[in-house]
Amino acid sequence: MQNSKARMKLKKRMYYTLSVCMLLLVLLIGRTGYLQIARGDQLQKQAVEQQTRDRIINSKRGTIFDRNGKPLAVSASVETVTASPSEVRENSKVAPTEKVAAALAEILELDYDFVHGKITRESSYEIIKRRIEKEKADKVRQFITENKVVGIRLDADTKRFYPYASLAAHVIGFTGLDNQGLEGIEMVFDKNLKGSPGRIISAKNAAGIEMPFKYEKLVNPQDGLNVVLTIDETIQRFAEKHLETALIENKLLKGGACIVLDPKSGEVLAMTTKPDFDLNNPFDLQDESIKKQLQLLDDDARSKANEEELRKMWRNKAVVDSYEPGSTFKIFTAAMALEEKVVSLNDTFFCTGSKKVASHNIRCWKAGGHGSQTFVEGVKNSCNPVFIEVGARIGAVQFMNYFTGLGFTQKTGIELPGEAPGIFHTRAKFNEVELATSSFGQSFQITPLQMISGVAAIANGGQLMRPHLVKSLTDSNDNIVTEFESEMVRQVISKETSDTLCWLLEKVVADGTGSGAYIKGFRVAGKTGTSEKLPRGSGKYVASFAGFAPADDPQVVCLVILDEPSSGLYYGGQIASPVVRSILEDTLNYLGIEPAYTAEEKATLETSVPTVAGQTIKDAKSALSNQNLKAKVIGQGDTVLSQIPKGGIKVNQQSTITLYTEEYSEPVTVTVPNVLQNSVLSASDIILKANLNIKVVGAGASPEVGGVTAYKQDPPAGTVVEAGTIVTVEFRRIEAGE
Amino acid sequence: MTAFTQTIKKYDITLIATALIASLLGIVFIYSATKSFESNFKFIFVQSGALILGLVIMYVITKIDYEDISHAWPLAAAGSVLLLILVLLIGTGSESTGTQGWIRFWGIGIQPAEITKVFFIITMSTHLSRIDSDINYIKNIFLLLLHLCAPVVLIMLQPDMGTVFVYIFIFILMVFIAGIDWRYLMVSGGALSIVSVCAWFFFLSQYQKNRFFAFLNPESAPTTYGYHVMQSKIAIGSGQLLGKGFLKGIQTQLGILPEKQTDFIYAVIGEETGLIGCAIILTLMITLIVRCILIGKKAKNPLGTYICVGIAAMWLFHAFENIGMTIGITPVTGIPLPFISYGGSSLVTNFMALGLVLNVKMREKTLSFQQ
Repeated sequence: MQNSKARMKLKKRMYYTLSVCMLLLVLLIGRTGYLQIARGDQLQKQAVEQQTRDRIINSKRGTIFDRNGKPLAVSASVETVTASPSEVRENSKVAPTEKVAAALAEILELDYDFVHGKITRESSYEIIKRRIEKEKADKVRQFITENKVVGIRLDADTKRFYPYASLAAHVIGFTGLDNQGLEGIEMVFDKNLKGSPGRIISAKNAAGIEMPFKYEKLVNPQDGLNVVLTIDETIQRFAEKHLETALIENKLLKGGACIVLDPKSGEVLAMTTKPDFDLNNPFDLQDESIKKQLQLLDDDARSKANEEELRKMWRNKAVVDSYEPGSTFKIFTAAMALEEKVVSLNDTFFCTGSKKVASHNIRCWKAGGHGSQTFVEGVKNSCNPVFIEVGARIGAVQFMNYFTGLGFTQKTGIELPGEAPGIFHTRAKFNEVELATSSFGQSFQITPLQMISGVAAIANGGQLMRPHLVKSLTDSNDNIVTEFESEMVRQVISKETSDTLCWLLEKVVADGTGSGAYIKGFRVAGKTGTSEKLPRGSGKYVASFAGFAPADDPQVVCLVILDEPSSGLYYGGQIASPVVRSILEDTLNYLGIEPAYTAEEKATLETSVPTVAGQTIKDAKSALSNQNLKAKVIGQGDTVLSQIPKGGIKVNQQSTITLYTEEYSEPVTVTVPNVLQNSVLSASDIILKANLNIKVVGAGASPEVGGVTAYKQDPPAGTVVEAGTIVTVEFRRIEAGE
Repeated sequence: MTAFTQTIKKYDITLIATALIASLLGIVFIYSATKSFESNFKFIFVQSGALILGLVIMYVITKIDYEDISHAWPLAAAGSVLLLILVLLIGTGSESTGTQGWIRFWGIGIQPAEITKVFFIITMSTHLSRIDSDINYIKNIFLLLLHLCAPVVLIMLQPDMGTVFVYIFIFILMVFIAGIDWRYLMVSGGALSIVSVCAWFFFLSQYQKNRFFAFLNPESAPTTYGYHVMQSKIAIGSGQLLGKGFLKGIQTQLGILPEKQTDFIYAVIGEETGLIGCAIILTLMITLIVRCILIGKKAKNPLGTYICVGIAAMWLFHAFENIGMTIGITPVTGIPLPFISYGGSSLVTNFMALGLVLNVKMREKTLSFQQ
């Protein structure tokens, strides 16, 4: 009984035990299932997060090319030094942090405390130095391997290089610390240039150290697209060279701007603003005197002033700064009048030196007036009263319509940041006086780019083309991804009016105020402009010249703006037209456009001196006369032993070549006379009489030209030279005139 | 040879099959868990060797009637005390438990605390069967407690609290089956609580305390004790229903999971084979334990019952504690999963225990014949 009771008790307790067993095991399976099913997704996510290390690989930024494929902005492979401080600290027994910091500071030219602070910081990722060159990266690598350093890494990166440094700086723009475009094309096309970064997702172990060969997933970076500009590096260089010269010669207080456009397509061939800056160091102020001034300020004010000065330096005057165009705008007033047929070329006007509009007396630039003149003469003289009269004939409404039609009230839409739209009168306030002043380009502002786009429309047959800087986007294999076609905005004037204006503007250059832009063999057309900055009487001027060539089939339009010249001369016809001439001359030659000389020009063309040394005097004389050159024989010999100038040199026709016929005859020397302030004719006369030869450059090159005087000569007066030496004389239009 | 096959034929098929499947699965997952180590075949080699050794010992044990084994209880007792003292004297450490529980010789390391569990079960069973129905006498209870204290104190000195709890659990379950009065159970439960509180304040090191509480809030100490639990939970959870696939568990293969071939092998299985694999392992454990209790129920005498219950208690505690800690419901201790975790001593011990249960099963018929 006792036994069976005990057995019952045992049996019961066995079942209790079994139940507890089952309960516990069910608890286990339940909890496991809960983790795997109910919380599975969440834990899965947590697992992936801690198992992987995500690293961004920068994509290669696209190249910016000029229209001929010359690279203007390129990305070079560099490396960025980063640290994982926790790993560095853990490894400090093998490689003490002091030693690592000292070595890195030395190689990377950084401060020791800065580096040590970074590699011992409580963080998992620190950038020690960005974008170091391969040479330094190799040194770091060597140090890492030799000293068993852990936690210092070199990440592939790219750095922007601008092979031409300051060339087209304001157009190209530059990039910031993270390779993001900050200005210019770099900024506007940042999305296309930068591509999409890739990622390396790699597994990491319990210590957070990457396991390089396991579970690595690579998402390749997509390299950025290349941007092909319409800019021609060579033309850009011409524009920059000549504008730079003008900047220095005329001591431009507010700098200068120049745009060269293909009038038929609206493609910008060159665009420059001076002074410029070095794209490879865009944050360095270029002006030493400003730098010195900034040094005098306290820290806060300095950094603020520095920023302001940098912005000023980066400012692309050609599209951002609007200006009062002055007389260059008369091109458009003339175009409107001819298009509306309110004036004909032979209409006569009379200029008394001023004209009364409403109750205002508006003066002509020429005191005393131009007297009686035809419309053509009025344009050549850039006579204000003529244009006031013409403007009145056009009428405020039509004037406003054309003004808008020429695109002067809107941004052109160029691919650059910060473009200004220009400032013009509202329709309600556009009355008689405003119309009068607007007719000769005053009382409103437009940007240089708007101006040149308008001129291009006048030159190309009347079509306003949208100016643009980017031809196409290409991929890394130079396949075109996107092509930007030229776009016509609208027809603004008729072909006939355009042709008439081309002829008219050629006259301005051939024997009018624009003579400074004359180039032998090329039919240059253009218009000068000078405007006094507000307030009037300030003595601050903007001199400009808009020109194009050849007049019968314009290939290139060029606008030069010189802001606040301070060396005495300030008229566009004096200082801006020679800059346009130089740029056009270089550009037309570069473009391979054949010069077409008129009969008069042919007579004044330079000729190549033949080499006559060794010939008999008779042969030499006939060879020289074949080239329209004269000979002057020194000595009694029969054969020519030497000659001045030497063979191959270009001289004016009718120049005299000195021929020496005796071996030991003393060279004939002469003293260079002073020809400054002389006209072309008298200067030539003086020089030829002194047994020297003259080379005429500048405004005096036009055969029809008047009113120009010698401005510079080389060699200067008083120099003793051999007879026959060429004296280069530069002529300028000194007579005041717009 | 015929003697061998005759013996084998008498084995309980369910039990031996379950144990073998569990051991082989163990080796498979030890392979996966140690794949990222340089000399992972060492682990397979050791575990396979221990399996063979365990089977041999098991066979030997089944050849001797468990009653005869019981008679040799002084040997087991002496062996236990000797081994546990030895380990205190010349024991070396293990990274996994932080205790000095190893004896190493000739390049082999054994953990005496594992083997002595079986010795303890033998001596306890003998003790209980001798007391028989007089278990509720104070004197006997006092003697039984003394019986428990001998190994427990020695193990506490190592210190290996996990194993201490195994002993206590085995003890409680055995005396429960032996018919101890509920009152004593209540009293001892209360006493145990008091002892635990005292132990907490006076005996346990900070390391043990931290480790104990890490499971309650693993995120609070993600880099120390909580880290193990957190990583284990992430591994198991991310396995979801079907797992990441054999050898494809990222937590396992990257070494993020700690102690993966020993204490956390369940997490490896959970990550690589998902809920399906976990269910299989748990089914194996349930089968082992339930089968063991059922054999104990049918044993020819209380001695057999006690042996089986003691062993079932050992496996139950191991399985629950080990799996529990990987899923964050029990504290982290260095207790292996029976038959599956890597560890020669543990595997051999489990086969010794299995031998005893088979022994009881083989000889249960005699009982009915006698009746």
